[in-house]
Amino acid sequence: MDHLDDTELMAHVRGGRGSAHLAVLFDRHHRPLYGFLYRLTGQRPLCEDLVQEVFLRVLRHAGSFRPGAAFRPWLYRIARNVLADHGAQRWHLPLEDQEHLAAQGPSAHTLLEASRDRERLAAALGRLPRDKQELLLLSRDPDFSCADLAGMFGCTAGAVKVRVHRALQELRNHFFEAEAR
Amino acid sequence: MRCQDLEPYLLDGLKDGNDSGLPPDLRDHLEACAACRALRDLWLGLGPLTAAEPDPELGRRFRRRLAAQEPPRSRGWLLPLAAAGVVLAAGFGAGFALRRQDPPRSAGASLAANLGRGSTSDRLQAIAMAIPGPEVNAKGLLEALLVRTVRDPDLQVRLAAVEALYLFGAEPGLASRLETALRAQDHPEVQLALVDLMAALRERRAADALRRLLQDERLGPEVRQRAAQGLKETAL
Repeated sequence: MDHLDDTELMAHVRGGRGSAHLAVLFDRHHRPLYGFLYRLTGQRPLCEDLVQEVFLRVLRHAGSFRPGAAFRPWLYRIARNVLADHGAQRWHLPLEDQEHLAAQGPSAHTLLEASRDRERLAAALGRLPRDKQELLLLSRDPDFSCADLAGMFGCTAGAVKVRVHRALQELRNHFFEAEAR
Repeated sequence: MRCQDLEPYLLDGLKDGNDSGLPPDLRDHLEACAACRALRDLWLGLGPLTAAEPDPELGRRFRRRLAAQEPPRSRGWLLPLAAAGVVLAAGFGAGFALRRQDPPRSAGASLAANLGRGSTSDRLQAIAMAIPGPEVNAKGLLEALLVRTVRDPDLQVRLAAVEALYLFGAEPGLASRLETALRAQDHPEVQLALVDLMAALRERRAADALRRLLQDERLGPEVRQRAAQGLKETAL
């Protein structure tokens, strides 16, 4: 089953013979999804629940998956809906996992090398509206094209570029405000 | 070159994590403009922020939850499979009886014996092989898995044994055996896994057992809550 690509696996899930195939999709995609949700919620147990809920919705709504479409953008659309459904809660920003940061190795750019800068960046990100946080984090995912992001956020690829740029300017303001304090 | 000109290139030009995808005049601009450099560095700095690792057990928990969500009809394959197993077992048995008078060593007995032997990884591997089939004594294997569920010193082995028990869903009386195993169990995570399995059986005896668990004040609140949830899901 591991040799099947995501779209083929989803064809099985759509066909109602899907639990084992969905489990393979879960194994492939739950880690980056967890990372995305954890950055936005900061609560590990909640985040693990949300990840599972996302994949259970994949099963429930498999019929709406367009055959041949890319799976990950669709998965993250569901993830954003799940987040929105839990949006009434107050999120806590996660503290940086120092051990994990150490494992990242040396960074190519100097500004964010120190973990305290990352914490400041995480704090600045947390001050943005939720949709901008989501957009910026997803825009850093190398597997998502502008067209993918446009599909997720219901706009054109050109609008995605403008929105990312503006969100970054806002992020920069928050980041340097914190430095000035 | 204006700062605004960076806009269309941020996503595509910097995907690789450096400036090599940018046009030369934009790279020159970045060298000269601290505000744009800050945008670039902040954007690149966002990447590692999503690198958090989930609990390694999350996949296992999701599979249990997935099994609990399956509608009753989807577990109907167990009965035909069991029936096919019986027919095949009878066929193999007859074949062996014709070939030789002394019965062969049961693969099931050997599998069952292996479940309790060796290191943790040996036992986990043996459980992964514990699939009821034509040459396997399913009852012996079931008993051995139930013993692992309760007595194995390693939590992962206990949980793996519970997962393997899903393959024995058609065995008569499994629900009450699971209830007994749960009451003999001291680890809440295994208790929860057993509750999930009982709910997934979707049969009357399993629902009765879940009701008893729900009222048993000796059990932890989380286990009783999961039993209530399981009862809702069985919806008999």
